Amino acid sequence: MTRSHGRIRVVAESQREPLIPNGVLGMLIFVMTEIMLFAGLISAFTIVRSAAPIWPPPNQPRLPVEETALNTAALLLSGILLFVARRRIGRDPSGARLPLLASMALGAFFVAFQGVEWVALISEGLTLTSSTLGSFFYLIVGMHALHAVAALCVLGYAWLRIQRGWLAHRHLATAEVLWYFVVGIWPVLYFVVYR
Amino acid sequence: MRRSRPLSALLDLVAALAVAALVITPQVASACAVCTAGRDDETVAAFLGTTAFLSVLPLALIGGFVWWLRRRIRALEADGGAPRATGASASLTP
Repeated sequence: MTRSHGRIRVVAESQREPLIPNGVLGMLIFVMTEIMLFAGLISAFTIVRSAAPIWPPPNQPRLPVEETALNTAALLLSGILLFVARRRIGRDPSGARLPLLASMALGAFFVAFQGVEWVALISEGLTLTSSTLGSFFYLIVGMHALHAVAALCVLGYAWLRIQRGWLAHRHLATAEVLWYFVVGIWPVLYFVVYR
Repeated sequence: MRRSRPLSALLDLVAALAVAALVITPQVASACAVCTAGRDDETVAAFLGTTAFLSVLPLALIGGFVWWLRRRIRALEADGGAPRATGASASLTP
């Protein structure tokens, strides 16, 4: 529809709401490729482990299964809090601040705890080159930690936008896709690598 | 509908080749020295399991995405997802 008011022409733009926001679609495609990356790593680890005569390799420390279970719970709780933030943002964007901040804090706790765990394991002799366990452990868990840090940055950006009152639903949805991937794939990695 | 003779013969040939491929291919795969020969049962099972896993996963991902897309389209249609005006722009005309 076009109306003319003197020299100014007003044009009403009719456009269809996108089925999936561009950011979400891009992130979904990225996550699918990352799922394949982790699937490849898991498969390689499974085959190497099944072919090893003794597992874990001799003179190598045991992975901290119980402590990491606690860390896993923290990460899962972080995912739940992000879901709560999503539910709240529809009604009152400011109400989403606290659960989003708590979700990020738990995510940061997870990464920090992993760092502490790594320092302890390195001091006990598990390094990248000490055994196939060490190589795969640092590669798989390190790759996950890298994704967790990247996702925390995206969540931090979303939180800043909430603070400034700029956050659109699609921005949080993009961050959510990445964080749910980080949260969702961890129990699988934990089960495969730590058992 | 009746098929012509040459077409029918060609389809028979394709079917025979497909069956032959299904019979011969697993033997060729099993003969791969890297994957299965000289290894214990657990390793062979790991190779077969991870091969199946890596083969099915991309299909599952794409299938899941298409399924989710269809659900979303249906939900939008149920909400009356017709084109909607999202704003207006103004421009100076000479």
